[in-house]
Amino acid sequence: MSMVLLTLLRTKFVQYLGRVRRSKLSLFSLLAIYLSWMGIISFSSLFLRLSGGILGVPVNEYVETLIVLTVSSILAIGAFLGSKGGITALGYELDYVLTSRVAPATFLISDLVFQLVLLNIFIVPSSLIIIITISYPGQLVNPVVLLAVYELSIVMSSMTAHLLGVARHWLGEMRAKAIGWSITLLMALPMIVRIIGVQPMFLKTIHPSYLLGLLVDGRADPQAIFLLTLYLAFLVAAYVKAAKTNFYASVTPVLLSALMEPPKKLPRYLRLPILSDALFSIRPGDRPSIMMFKLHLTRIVRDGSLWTAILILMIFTAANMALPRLLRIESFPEVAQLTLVALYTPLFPALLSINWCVSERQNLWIVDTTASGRKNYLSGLFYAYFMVTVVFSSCLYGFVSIGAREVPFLEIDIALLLAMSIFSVLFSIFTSFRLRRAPTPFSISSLLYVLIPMLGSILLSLPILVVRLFEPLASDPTPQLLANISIFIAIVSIVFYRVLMRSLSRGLPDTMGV
Amino acid sequence: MKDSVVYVDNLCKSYDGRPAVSGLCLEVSAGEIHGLIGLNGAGKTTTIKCIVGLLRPDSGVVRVLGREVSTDSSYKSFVGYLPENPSLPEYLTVKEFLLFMAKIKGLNSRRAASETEDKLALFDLTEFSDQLIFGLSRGMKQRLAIAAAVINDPAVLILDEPFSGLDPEAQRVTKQIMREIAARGGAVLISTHILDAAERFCNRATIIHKGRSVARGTIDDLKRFAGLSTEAPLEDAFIRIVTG
Repeated sequence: MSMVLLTLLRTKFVQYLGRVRRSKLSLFSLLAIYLSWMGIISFSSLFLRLSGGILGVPVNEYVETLIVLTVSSILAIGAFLGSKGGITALGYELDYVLTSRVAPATFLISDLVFQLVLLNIFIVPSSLIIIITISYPGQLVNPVVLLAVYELSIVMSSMTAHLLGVARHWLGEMRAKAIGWSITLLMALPMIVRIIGVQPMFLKTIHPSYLLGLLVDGRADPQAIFLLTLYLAFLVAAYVKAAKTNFYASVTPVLLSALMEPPKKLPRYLRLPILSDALFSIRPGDRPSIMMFKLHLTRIVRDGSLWTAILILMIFTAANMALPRLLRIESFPEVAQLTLVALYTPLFPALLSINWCVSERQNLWIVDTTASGRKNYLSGLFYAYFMVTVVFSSCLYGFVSIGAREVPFLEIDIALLLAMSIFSVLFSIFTSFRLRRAPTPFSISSLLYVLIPMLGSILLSLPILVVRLFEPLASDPTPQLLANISIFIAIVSIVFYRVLMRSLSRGLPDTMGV
Repeated sequence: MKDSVVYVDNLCKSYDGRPAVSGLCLEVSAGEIHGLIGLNGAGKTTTIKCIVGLLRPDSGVVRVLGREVSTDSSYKSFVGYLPENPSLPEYLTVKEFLLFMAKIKGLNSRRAASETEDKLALFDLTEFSDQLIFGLSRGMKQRLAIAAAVINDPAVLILDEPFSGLDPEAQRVTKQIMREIAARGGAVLISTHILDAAERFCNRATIIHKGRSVARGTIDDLKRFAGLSTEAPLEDAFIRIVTG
């Protein structure tokens, strides 16, 4: 079994990191992206610490809350992935491993190890950076105990995901999904109660996140340890039973459907007849540019991108409501608000471009084999992304402003919103066309799809962001200032748009994997 | 070369330094159904992609309807193309996709609408017209892809393994369309593994082996080239030619 297990594991990693093996440059880029991600985490932690420091909130309260919330997130992620299938079966495994004589237990354990390694890479260093940055220079927690607690929660998370995957075999897909969503909700309860602003005491005595949190600060009483042992024992017992089950027929390729790939069944649930059919459906009389615009909007509505964008909007609005409570302040300082909105806006086109890569990139041959080429296709893509981004970021801006009890939409905010939307859309299109291949879910390289639009649009919008920070310029700008800002946005947008369209319209078929 | 609808001379194309096609020559004349025959990896798809403008040749000449494909893309308005594994926008309905194809091929609104209806009927797709492509079977998707390739009644039809996954009825319709295009002075270039089918409907063929064209001519020419009688199956001639 051990030899087979090792072979399965080795092949899985080789397949997953296949691109890195192509050249030393690929390895270097991967490391650079990972380090950039760590940089962002460090910056955010520093920001969190400084905000708390200024307002005089005790640091240990932060740390305690953060540990509970990160552990709660880890457990919720496991349950969420479990509701999507839980077992990370790659395409070749579905075709060749699951149809071979490899025992289900062997496959399950190899996947458990695979998930543990991946989750460790993504979660542990970033979580430790946050805690260390916030608690420095005082040693508020024992790093070894903290590490052990994170490892334990990762193991629990992966086992939960697997169990929910195997539960599809035992109970059927719908029931397993319902259980998966219920557990996700239960695991996310510590976050939800924070957002609502209530603190039910009973949760602190029974919820695994709080119990694990108690272990870190050494306050775990025998009852807490007993309960935690009970949870673990239940998980292990269920896992042993799962490993003895032949669940192969219920396995779905979770890596391809959990996060990135648009949910294929969504059209059934999210066909908006009025929107997509009456307004955006392609008609014989459409001009080519209008037709392309409609094509992209139809895709966004039908492939699930719209639903995911709504989900992201809800999550970030909730996060914005929760964070001030975490920091024990009424609302964010204006700078903090702006930073968050500036960071959020590019996420919408980034998400759209990731989904474009997954579901549409391979269809480029259709426009590449026509005489008009990509010109109309690209302009349609830009306007469709822009429309979605501006609508969603306006909603986000509105919610944030209302949440902060500020008059929504100062004139300068509209300019900032417009600039961030245009620039991030252009950077997203650039990223998705210039990167050779579609991002794979959970791959570190997929961060590029977020990082490039985010950093690029913040950089180009910097002059407006700076003006936004200074009073009374921000709340009462002179007409001349507004005119200058408008001219700046117009010039940069037009130049960037033209350069981008010209460079991407030129045939790049060799690079698009058609 | 003068009457060639498709003319390829000394075509070379490499991937990461590995040659896929090296010095390939090919001519398809008006009124001809031309077979492109070769083993897996011989360079058929690479050649076709260079002709339709999906790949940039490293060197060589590729002309379609007298136009140099690397500098003049106007020829694409007259070409219909079916890739080996066509990827289709699954979020569109069957009818929307055909209408979309008609429009990007440059048909005016009236003709786009009428061609869409015609092709739906011709390929027996009418009952699926409002269904998302996502829900179609592989064979139905292949039917749809062929319908899209011929939506503008192209003068040049280029098909890469068109019969895989296609049922006999759709095969018959496709062959009929190929013959019609050839009969009205157009040209068809078809890459296929099905040699007995190629023998029946191709006027001429080019055999590709390891990126080079090793034999060209009518089906009978190829048999004679292999040292066989014209009664022998094309398959025998092909095997004899590629194995030397």
